[in-house]
Amino acid sequence: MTERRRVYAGFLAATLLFFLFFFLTARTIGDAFPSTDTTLFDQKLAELFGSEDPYDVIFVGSSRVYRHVRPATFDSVLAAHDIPVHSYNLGSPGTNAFETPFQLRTILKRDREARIRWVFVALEGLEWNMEEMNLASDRVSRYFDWRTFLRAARLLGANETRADEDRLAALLDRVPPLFRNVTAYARGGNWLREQIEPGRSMAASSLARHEDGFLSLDTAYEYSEGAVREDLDERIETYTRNREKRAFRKGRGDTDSTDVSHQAPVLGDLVREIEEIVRGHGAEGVFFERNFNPGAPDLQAMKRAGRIRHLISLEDAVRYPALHDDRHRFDGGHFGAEGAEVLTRYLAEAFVPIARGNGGGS
Amino acid sequence: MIFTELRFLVFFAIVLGVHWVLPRNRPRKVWLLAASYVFYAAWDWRFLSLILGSTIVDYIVGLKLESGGDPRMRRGWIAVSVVVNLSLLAVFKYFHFFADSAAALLQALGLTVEPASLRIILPVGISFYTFQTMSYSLDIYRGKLRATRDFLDLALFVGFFPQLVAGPIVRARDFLPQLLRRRVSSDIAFRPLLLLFLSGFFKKACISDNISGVVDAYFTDPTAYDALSAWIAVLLYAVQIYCDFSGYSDMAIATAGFLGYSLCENFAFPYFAGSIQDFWRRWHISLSSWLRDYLYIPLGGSYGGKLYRYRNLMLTMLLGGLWHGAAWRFVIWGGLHGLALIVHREFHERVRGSSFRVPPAIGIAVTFWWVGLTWIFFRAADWQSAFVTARAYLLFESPGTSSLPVQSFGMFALLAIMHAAACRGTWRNRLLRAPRPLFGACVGAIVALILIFKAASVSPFIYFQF
Repeated sequence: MTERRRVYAGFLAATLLFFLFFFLTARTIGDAFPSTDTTLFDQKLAELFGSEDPYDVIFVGSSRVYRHVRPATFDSVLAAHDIPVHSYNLGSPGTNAFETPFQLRTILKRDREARIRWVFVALEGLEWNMEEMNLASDRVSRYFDWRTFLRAARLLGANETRADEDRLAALLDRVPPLFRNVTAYARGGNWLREQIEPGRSMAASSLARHEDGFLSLDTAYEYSEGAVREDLDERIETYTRNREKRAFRKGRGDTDSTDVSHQAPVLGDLVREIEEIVRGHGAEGVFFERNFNPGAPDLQAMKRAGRIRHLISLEDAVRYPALHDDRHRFDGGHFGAEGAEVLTRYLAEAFVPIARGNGGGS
Repeated sequence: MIFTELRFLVFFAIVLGVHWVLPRNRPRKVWLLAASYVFYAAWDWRFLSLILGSTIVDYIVGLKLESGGDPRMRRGWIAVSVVVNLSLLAVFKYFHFFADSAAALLQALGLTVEPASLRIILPVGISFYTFQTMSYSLDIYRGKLRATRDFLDLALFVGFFPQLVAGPIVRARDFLPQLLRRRVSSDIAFRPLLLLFLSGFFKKACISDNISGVVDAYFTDPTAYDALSAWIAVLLYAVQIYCDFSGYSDMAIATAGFLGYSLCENFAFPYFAGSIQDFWRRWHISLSSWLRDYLYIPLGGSYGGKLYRYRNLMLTMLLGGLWHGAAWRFVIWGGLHGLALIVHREFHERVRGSSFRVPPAIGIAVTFWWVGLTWIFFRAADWQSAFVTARAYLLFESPGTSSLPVQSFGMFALLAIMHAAACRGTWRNRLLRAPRPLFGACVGAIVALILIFKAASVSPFIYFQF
């Protein structure tokens, strides 16, 4: 080998090893630091796996799972049908469909004894909560890996309701979270600051007054104070204002429908991944959908296509009129305590045939 | 544009690439000057006129001084340089300080006067580049340097972006000769420079930025905290300001080095100084040597009687303090250092000839403790905060009951150990000698660690405000 070739070979080896050790370090050390803005989810995980009475059913999703599914009610309805279950609500505000597979991997990795048998998943839409303000968060950087980035690119590419330059800008906005994911950016720094800075810790979320991970918005409101109370008051006020507007629009024959057909390929991909994760763990996935979600994925079509094994749909206003009763709502997107109780009962009743193994869902 | 920002790294990659692609020295210098002005304009393009104005004045002054003439004319020309540069500082940096101080004095005398306001902001780096241009003319005046006839060289000396906004304060006699030599990329000591840049980046982004929050929390309201918290805040601030400033200097030296220019060392593990005099040989070396050569020695230096010498020392430190910021707190900071230097000299004169020696560990501890005390006046937002913190630091008085997390103290201990390990330099030397693939692997891991431990938000460098 000539001297020049030896030098080039040395450079090549150094470059390859640079990247290899870079990614190894990022994955091993970077991933060891807990997220600084998923405290509620982390606390729920700790409670779920720290319980002496193991849980075998979990509910995963956004605030519309967190505030709507009351495990105690669910368990009692099933017990009345001689199906003993112990369920836990892992719903976490702001969870979107991209995040769900990441959450499931995180949860099931900790279930070393494979006690979880049923995983209820409520998927949100893919656009509405991909807001700019969240893209810079540590939480998004946790799940925004290459696969998610490519899915986001596909989704933006298929969305012809947006202008080309708008879609390109939206895609570029998603490069920083990908970079932060790949490099485990600032995870150690965030953790360090949380240890040494007074008042910085997000550990303020606590599971006090929660029942198996559930806390209704009415209870949350009752015990809220300061900025949290102001935020809740504002949500109620906005809901009241919009309800009047909606009634006016409906009177003119307008509809609230949103075209989300372009999301189908990406959602299909996500649903397949979720099914794989859950079944790979030896559990069964149960997708469920409910009202208040105009941009939600068309799970019915996926069920018909055989992509989903178990689906419970609570959207039908004729079959489930109480879920469309404004009196049960807390704000525009959530039920209050009574609504949660009603929804959980419907969900549990619909699950009975699935649990008995003679139903694929409604 | 801050050295730890992605946009700087992209900017520098372009500057570096084009610089080494250009075939000759002159186009490279033109390119570097253009890049430097773009770098400065990223803050505020309007202040480019100040740099350019200061450069033009000292270019003309340099040529006039070089052309000889009678001593009175030469004194007149050097006065032009000093007056113009100090006027820039007086107007843009010290105007409000002087106006507010005058108003306060008149108020004390019973006259109510509204302090004048110019509604101007402080141009970034003004303290650094005015000192550089002034030292250029002063060196020519003293016959230590020949004036450059090439305006491009002088403009690049003043505006060279790695050191433009926060030093090190470069001397013309060190930098101008470098501009005459043709640079070859193979002469660049890549490994030491890369490690220096990464070390500076780590100090700034991973240490200084991460502990700034706890320090800020304390100094927002020192009266709310106990004495232990005051100690933690002061110790961490000492770490923060060191990592911030020396980190910036490391990156500046490395950045210049990649372009083929060498800048002077600015820090040499100052917190391991065994005395306050030793501290000033290790802390902000380019400023302390500037003050020595252009202020302390012209004042008379160490010649003359004891009181005369101490007066020179105190004046130098008071003005050095004022250089850091337009507030009396900085003057007090300088005064405390001046006092310590006088006490140190007095002590040495008294024990001279005896066998008494201060044990090194005691010397380091006492020096660090005193420097910590002076940092209180440097950091505190107002007099009350400064005095409350100083009392807690000196007398262990607790004005409040809140506490900073004790982990913060552990953080200080960890950093002290890391600093001691860095001081030994063993790991650095091993890495420099490692085979190329091993070096690549280690740098990959180091870069990943820096990104992991980096603070999420980029804070401006502390020294930019001076």
